[in-house]
Amino acid sequence: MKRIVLYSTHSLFNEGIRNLLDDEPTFEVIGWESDPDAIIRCIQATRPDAVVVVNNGASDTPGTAGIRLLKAGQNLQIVELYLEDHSGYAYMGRWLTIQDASGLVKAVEALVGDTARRPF
Amino acid sequence: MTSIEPLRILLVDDHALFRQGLKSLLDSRPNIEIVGNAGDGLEAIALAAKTLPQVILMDIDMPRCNGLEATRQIKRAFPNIKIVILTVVDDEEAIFEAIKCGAEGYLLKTLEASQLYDLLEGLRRGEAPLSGVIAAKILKEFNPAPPIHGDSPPLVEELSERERQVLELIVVGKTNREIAESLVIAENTVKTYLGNILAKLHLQNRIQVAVYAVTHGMVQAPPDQSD
Repeated sequence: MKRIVLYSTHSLFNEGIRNLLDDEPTFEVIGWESDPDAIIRCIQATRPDAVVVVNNGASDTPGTAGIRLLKAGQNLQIVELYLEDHSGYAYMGRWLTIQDASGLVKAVEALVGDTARRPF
Repeated sequence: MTSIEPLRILLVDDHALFRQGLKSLLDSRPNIEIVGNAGDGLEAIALAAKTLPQVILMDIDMPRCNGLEATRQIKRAFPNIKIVILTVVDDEEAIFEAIKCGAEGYLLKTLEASQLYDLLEGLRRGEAPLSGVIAAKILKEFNPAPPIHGDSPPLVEELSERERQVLELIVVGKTNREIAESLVIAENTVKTYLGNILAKLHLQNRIQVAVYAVTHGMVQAPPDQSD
């Protein structure tokens, strides 16, 4: 079971994605936050396998940057999801187009599938 | 014992991921039925005609036909369908255009699911779902001149004292239930007063009532809580 946390300043998006990922047998959503400081504390406290970051624009940058900093030297995986137009794009070392929930699930699976969680 | 008919909702948003997430949330509610979902305004117009929902949750920025134009066309063809804008856009121009197009409510995606459920229940009771920040922007934008004592517009004269009290509470964003508690009257009585106000001012919903009241100096605009 891969442990996931979510970050989006749009609470409604967070809760919807949580529902979708929770339906997947291989994922457990253990936290979700819409505040940049809160997501950092959440990651430190729960040590998830991956964090899905929904980047809605410049106002989200501090949160994303903080998570990047937190990742340094750790085993945390990040899926950055950009909603620039009617498609979503995920950056995980390369760009992936995320059209729908199944696309997001595949992206997260690809990222954390072979990753063993290590302590910070 | 009477059971509540599910509220039939059409979801319109160009992001499939958001639509799916929102559908997943609303599907878990026993009193809500999602009758369809559309990825742009043209699809929304077609699906509205096909499914005749009671409520449409409408995004604004979409390809081919945006949510404001879709709202205008749907309200023209089906005035009884209630359209609530659900968007990230919080600028005044979009808000006022949405109201002009006939939207009954305007919500931001920053709200939480539990708030959305409450607001949709309020919509069933005839209330207008409005994010607090949005209500303040609407009222602040008009920045009315202070009312001149004893020189009220003629329409104000038509409102009874009780209707004026209800009007003042509508302007500050109170729900029917909260107005009933404030005035120590039944919620159904509040609805009756609201109906009277709508009829006397020739308006369609409480957002328009609030805007009208402020622009005509019937009440003072509340402070903008977003500043």
